[in-house]
Amino acid sequence: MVNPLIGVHAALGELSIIFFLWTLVEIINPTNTRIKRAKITAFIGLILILTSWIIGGYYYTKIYSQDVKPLIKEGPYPWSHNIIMETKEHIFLFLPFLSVLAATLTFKLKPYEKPNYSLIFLLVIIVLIGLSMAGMGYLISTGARAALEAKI
Amino acid sequence: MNSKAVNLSVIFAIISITIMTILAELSKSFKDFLTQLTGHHWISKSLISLIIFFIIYLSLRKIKSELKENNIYYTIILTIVLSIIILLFFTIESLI
Repeated sequence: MVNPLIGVHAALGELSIIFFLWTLVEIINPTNTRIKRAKITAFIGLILILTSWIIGGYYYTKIYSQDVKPLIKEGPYPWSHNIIMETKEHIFLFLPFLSVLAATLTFKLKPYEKPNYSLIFLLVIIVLIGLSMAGMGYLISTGARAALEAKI
Repeated sequence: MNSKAVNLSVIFAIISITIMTILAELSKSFKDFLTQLTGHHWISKSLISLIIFFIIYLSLRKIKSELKENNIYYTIILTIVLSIIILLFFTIESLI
């Protein structure tokens, strides 16, 4: 059976990305109300990515490394661990730090100022990295499924 | 929080992650050292980058100069470059 922690990790990560995308939309034309909402959504996004980091870390070190990794490496798509998982697990570590920066900058925003384009681009990068995590997760689970099918 | 200090701390943290990642693959003794530290090399990389982030932030939190938009763009470009380096590194390592 698939461990439910991987689902929790993925759900928290993607929810975090949705909240940062929401923050991005709010700050494009920053009014007083939008800035207030952006501060809340950025804070929630930050908490969610930190929680995803802890849960994903627990799953990766305790379950994936011991059960799933050896399976994928013996299966038909070992690259899904050797390239995709290795890349994912390390680029993921950038996200909590970038999220702290994005939340800090959002909290410094003042209403009716011109749009902060550097913060907008930072949020775009966070969202793109987050979406790439989901894509890489799909490729890794494909590697695991293919390895299981090959055993049958 | 001091946003210029946060930005610099993020830069040091993500550079340290990339260096530790590549060094651990090139040097078995360094990977073993990271594994022995916490039980898993990934947890050690996470904790070391977090410690670096806090040390840099606490050292720089009183700097007075303002954070410029360009500083954030440098962080964004660095993130993209480091991500590509990590992807290319593991792709090449897997092929040879």
